[in-house]
This record gives sequence, C-alpha cells and structure tokens, in this order.
Amino acid sequence: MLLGLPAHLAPAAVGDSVSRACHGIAATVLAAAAALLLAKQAATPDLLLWPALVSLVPLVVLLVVVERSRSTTAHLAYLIVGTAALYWYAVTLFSQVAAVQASDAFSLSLPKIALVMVGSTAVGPRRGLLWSAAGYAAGELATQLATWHTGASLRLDVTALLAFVLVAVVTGHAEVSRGRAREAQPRLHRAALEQQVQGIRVDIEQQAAALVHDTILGHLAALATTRPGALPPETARSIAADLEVLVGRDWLSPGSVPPEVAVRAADAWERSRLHAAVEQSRSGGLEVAVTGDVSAVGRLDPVTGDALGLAVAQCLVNVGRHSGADRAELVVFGDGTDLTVMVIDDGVGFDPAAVAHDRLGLTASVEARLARVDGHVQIWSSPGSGTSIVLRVPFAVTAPVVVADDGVPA
Amino acid sequence: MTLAAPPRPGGRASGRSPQQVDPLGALAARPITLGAALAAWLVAVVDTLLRASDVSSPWAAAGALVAVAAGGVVLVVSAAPLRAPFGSAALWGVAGACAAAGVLSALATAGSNPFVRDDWAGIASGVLLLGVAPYRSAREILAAGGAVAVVLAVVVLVEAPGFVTPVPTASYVVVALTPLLALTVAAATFSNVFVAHVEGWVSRATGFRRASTDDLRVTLARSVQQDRVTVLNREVVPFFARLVASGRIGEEDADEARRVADSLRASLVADADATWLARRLAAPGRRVPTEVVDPDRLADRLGPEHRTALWALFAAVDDVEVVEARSLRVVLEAEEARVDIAIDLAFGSSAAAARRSLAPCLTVLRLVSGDLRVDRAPSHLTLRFSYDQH
Repeated sequence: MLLGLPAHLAPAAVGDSVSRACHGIAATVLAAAAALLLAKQAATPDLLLWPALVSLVPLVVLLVVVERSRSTTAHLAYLIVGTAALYWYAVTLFSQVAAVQASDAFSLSLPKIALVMVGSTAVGPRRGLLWSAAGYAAGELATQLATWHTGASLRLDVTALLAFVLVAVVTGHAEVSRGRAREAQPRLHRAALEQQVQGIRVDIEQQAAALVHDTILGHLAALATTRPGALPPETARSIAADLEVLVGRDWLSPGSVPPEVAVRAADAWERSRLHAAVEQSRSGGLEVAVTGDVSAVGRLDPVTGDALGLAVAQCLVNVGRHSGADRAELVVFGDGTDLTVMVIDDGVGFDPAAVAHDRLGLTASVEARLARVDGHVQIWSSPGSGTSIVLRVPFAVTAPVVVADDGVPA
Repeated sequence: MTLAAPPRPGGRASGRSPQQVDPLGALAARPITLGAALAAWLVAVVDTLLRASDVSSPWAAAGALVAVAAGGVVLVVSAAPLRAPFGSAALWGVAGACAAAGVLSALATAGSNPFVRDDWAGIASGVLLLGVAPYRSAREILAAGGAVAVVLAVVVLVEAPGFVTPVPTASYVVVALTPLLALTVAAATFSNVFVAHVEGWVSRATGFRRASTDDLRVTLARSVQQDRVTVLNREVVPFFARLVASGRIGEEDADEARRVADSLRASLVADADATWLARRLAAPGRRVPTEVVDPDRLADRLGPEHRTALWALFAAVDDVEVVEARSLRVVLEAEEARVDIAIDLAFGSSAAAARRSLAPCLTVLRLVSGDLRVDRAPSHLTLRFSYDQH
C-alpha cells in the first residue's frame, strides 16, 4: 500500500500546512483582540473603542482572502491594509485605554502577531519566512508610528518577536530537513507498485492453474486409467478443444466471456456453465439431481456464472472421484443478493482439514475461484457421513475481480 | 504572480494522524519536537527567574518547572523513532503535565501576582502541544488543548481578584488563554492540513493506478499465459498431439500420462503454495542469495504496510549502491497469535556501515512494526520483529 508522500511533494505539503497553521494563529489572535475590546467596552461604555474594532474587520476579511487565494496580491494587500488598520487600532487604544500606554501592550501584540502570521504564497517554506519578516516589520512600523504620534512609550515587543522567531524556526527547519529522512520514500513507492503487480499476477496465475487443473489434469487422469486401444473420439475432441483454448485464445483476459450467456433466465440456465457442469457429470456416469430455482442462475453476471459453474464442476468431479457415491444432489436457490448452490452427496466423506496433498482442487478451483467473484464456499464433511458443499455468489453488478489497491486480495 | 502551489485538498482529513499517513515525515519533524520541549521549558525558567520577586512559594515554583520539564520529556520520549507510534496516552500525559504546571505556577505566585500576561503556563503548554502536531490527529490535539484551557481558565478566575490591571475579569481569561489557544489551533491545523494533503495524494495516486490496472492486467495475463504455454509445450502438448493424431492409446501411454500429470501437478501446487514473500525473493533480477524458512506460509499473514516496508528493505539490500550484501535469510515462526520474523543479513562491509545505509528503510519498518530490534555482529545484521496474524 502507499505509505507517505513522495519526497518531491513533501516540502509543498509541509509548507502549505505551516502556512495554514499560521493563518489559524492569526485568526485566533484577531478573535482575542476583538474579545478584549468587547469586554472592555462592556465594562466601560464611555470609551470610544468601536474604531479599533472596525479596524480589525479588514484584517479578518483579508485573512480569509489570503487563506483562500494565496496570491501575492492578497498577501501584499493583507500587509499594507493590515499596517494601516493596525496604526488606527493602536492610536485608538493609546488614546482610550489607560492600561495601554506602551508599544508592547498585550492587546497591541495581538494584531501584530496576525501580521507576522501572513503565511506563504510559495511552494517551499523559504518564501514564507520573507513574508513573515515583512509582516513583523510592518506591525512594528505601525505601532511605533502610533506610539510616536500619541506620545506613548516605545518598548521592544517580546511577544511579537517570539511569534516571528517561532515562524522562522519552523520554516527554517522545514527547509533544512527536506532530504535526509525521506531518502527511502521512492523505494517505498516502488515497493507499493511492485506489490500491486505481484497481487494481480498471482490472481491471474491462480485462474490459469485452476483452468489447467480442470482440463489438462482431468484428461491426463482419464488417460492414466484407460486401457490401450483406440482413443475414444469423444475424448479426442475434448482434448483438442481444451488445447485450443489453452494455447490459442486470450483465455485469461476479462471479457472473453460470450455476451449471449446473459440472456433470459430460462435460457440462461440451459446455457450456463452450471448446467454444463451438471451435464458433464451426468455424461461421466454420476447421477445428478437438480432441485430449486434454477432460473435464478440467469441473474448472475457472466463472469460470476462461469466461476460458479467451474467451481461446481470441480465439486462434482470430486464426488465422482472420491466419495464412492454414484449420486449427487444439487440445490439451487437465490435470495435478494446471493445465489446459493449446495452440492450434496452421501458418500464416504472426508476430513476437510486433511486435504493437503489434493489442496489444489479445493483451494484453486473452488475457493479461490469463488473468492475472485466475491463469493465464498463452505464445506461440511467428516469421514463416513457424506459431504455438503455450499457455494454462495452475489448477483450481478459486482466487479468480476477484487484486488485491493495494494495488490492484496480484499 | 502566483507560483505553482500544490492543489489544496478539497475534502476534510480523516481522523488519522500525520505519523500514520506519513511515517517518514514524522521522523523528519523530530528536531521540531525536541525544540518544542526545550523552548517550553526555557520559557518557563526564564519567566520564573525574571519574576522571582513575585514568587511566594518556591516549592510550587520548582514543582511547576518540574511539571513542564516532565511534559517535555514525555513528548520527546514518546516521539522517539524507537517508540513509534506516538500514542494517545502520551498526548494526554503532555496535557496533564501542562495543566499541573498551570496550577503549580499559579500557586507559586499566589497572592503576589500583579499581571496575568506575565504568566508562562499558557505559552509553555501551547508550545508543547505544537510539538505534538506531527504525531496526533487534529481532533485529539484540540481536545487536549481545550482541556488544558479549561484548567487555566479556572486558575485565572480564582486569581483574578489579585490582578492590578483595571480590566474586566473576562479580559484576564482571554489574555491567559490566547497563547495556548492560538498554538493549539496551529498544531491542529497543521495536523489536519497535512493529513488531508497526504490522503489526497494517496487517493489520487491510487485512483490513477487503478485506472491503469486494466492495461496491466491484460499484459500480465498474456505473460502468465505465455509462461503456461511454455510449460505445456514441453510435455503435455506433444503428448496430446501424438495421441489425437494417432487416435490410439499405446501400452506406455497410461504411465506417461501419470508421469506428466504428476510433474504438472507438482509445479501447480508449488506455485499455489508460494507466499508473496517467497515470490518476491524468487523474482528475477535479484542479486543477493536468499533463503526463506516459512513452512507454515506465515508471510501471507503480514499486513499490507508491513509488506511494503519489507519489500522496500529487500530492494535496498539488493542495491549495490546502498549496501554490499552477501546473503539474506528470512525465518518466520508462529508464537500463538503473533508471528516472529527474523531477517539475517550478511555483508561484505562492516555491519555498522550497512546499518547506516539501510537506516531509512529500518526506520519505516520500525514505525510500521512497532517492535523492531536490530542486533549487530561484525559483518551481520539481524532484524527481528513480530506481527499479529491478519
């Protein structure tokens, strides 16, 4: 799976995050400045504080513009208008509030900090530092002018300076730390991609293995028990047809399923792989009783229908080969979302946990095949008590192949 | 003029933390974390010294400094790559230390504190929470900052009658809380915006890759089919072709069919049994001789993040530009619900140099696994970690 940002995008993402964090600080200190003004006004209604409150409005508006657009024009406007607003704000406070008599008063630091937190227009953090420095200088210029005009005392504003130092340290660090820790990032991304490719390949190989298992190995097994003599024409035809499929066509590509499979429900059953599987077993000598709502098979999409048919065919082959029974029952029923097929025999049964050496038949042909179409299979069997295999697949509109982003089957 | 800027993420970030979505980014932020812990403590010490005359209880003053130092230690220790990921408990540990420092510093100057704006607890707490930004989600940072703010607000309300500045009580609260709230908002915004950036990129990249998967699938299908045809052409096709052409089954053909079936079955089972790890390490183009001991196929129980981290490590091991690896051995063993994995690496150079070269990959593995141990012998490295069976 993808883990983290690629190295070339990291400075931009960090720069933008820092920039917007600065805007968060600016918004908070402007809100605090307004709250202080309102509290003071409420406590002392005689004071003329509304000009200071009004002067905060353009700062807030331009902060929103800066946050939205990040254009150089917006930043310049924020600093120029902000400097004028700050001057107006400082003059109002110096003349109205007795407690504010020096240029480092807390309520003066707040809008100054808002100017320092102007943020950055650029991708990298370096330019953000220049903007902050300009904001700091503009803020000091406005308050010093106001101090000089109103005769208040001039003092170094440590709070505003610390705010600037904070921005400088964070952006400076973001600038310095670009390379080092991210050296492994390209490797991580390549790994994620290769992992996905491996996942898809494994999926396709499983399909291929299942097909080879069901066709070639089936013929070989049949040939291994055939007495010498003439090759039955039926077998010859079947071998030739399977070879044609395996060596000739793009049998692994999705969409190689003939569209006419998805016709009306009644016909669909006749044409389905499930029906073909039953017929094949019957011709192989197994008596297969089919009950239930076979027309529901028509509601499957072709890929799911094929997967189900091939899986059931394999189940029936297993009944014929291993169960000792000459009869199997197939029960088909559909509900709102799923089609369920039960393959039941009353043969010798087996221990599902002990099928290791023949695992390919069950895992590749049945379980893996159904898993690929979002279906699943459950096997109930124990030696001596027959076998029931329940296969469930969802009706149409599911994707034919489910592979998660990271290449790991979901 | 607007310079090219990254597209801003449209949707809101999920509740994940920057460290979860970008482990290497969190690693790069480590100096900031150290700086925050140090700065918070310095602010507290310098401010306490400057206002030594206001201190009425030296013990409480010292306690406050210890509390803020403890918060810094919790922050730095929890953020250490060796201890990744930074847990929720660590965040609340930092917040608790901040609240304690706030209460103690108020007690230290009880009855003799003329100005609320000189109090350092808000700034120190805010700076510590800023240090948490790369490791926790915005929501949690806001919650922790809010909790500390409530404590500081109560402290100020209790202290308010002693302040000499002629302003309403509400103003004291605003003054005391502004630094903390501003820095908390900054930390939460950073966390939120950064996570949104990473998640936005991952979803764009994933979407792009999904769109190109169909092409990939067709190509891979052809290649798999080609492999399969090659295998079948070796024995099966000539055998069947001969039978079909002659229309007869000879004396030895049954045995031949059994033999061909056995070898084909064996190759199919071997393919079906191979774990992702075995496939990865058997892939063509690998340089370093490799052995995988995984009889129970435990590699397939690794989560996707572990796989990516290991995959990247193996790529680095194979890269002569990175290390001079001589051999690689991977052993997986189940230990109840956990799996222990040990990776032995032999090098032509010294293990210390190899460890340095592999450091970024090891860090990712450490962040993903949480319990990576690296043991060193003269020209050997052994990496050990464990994982839950997924």
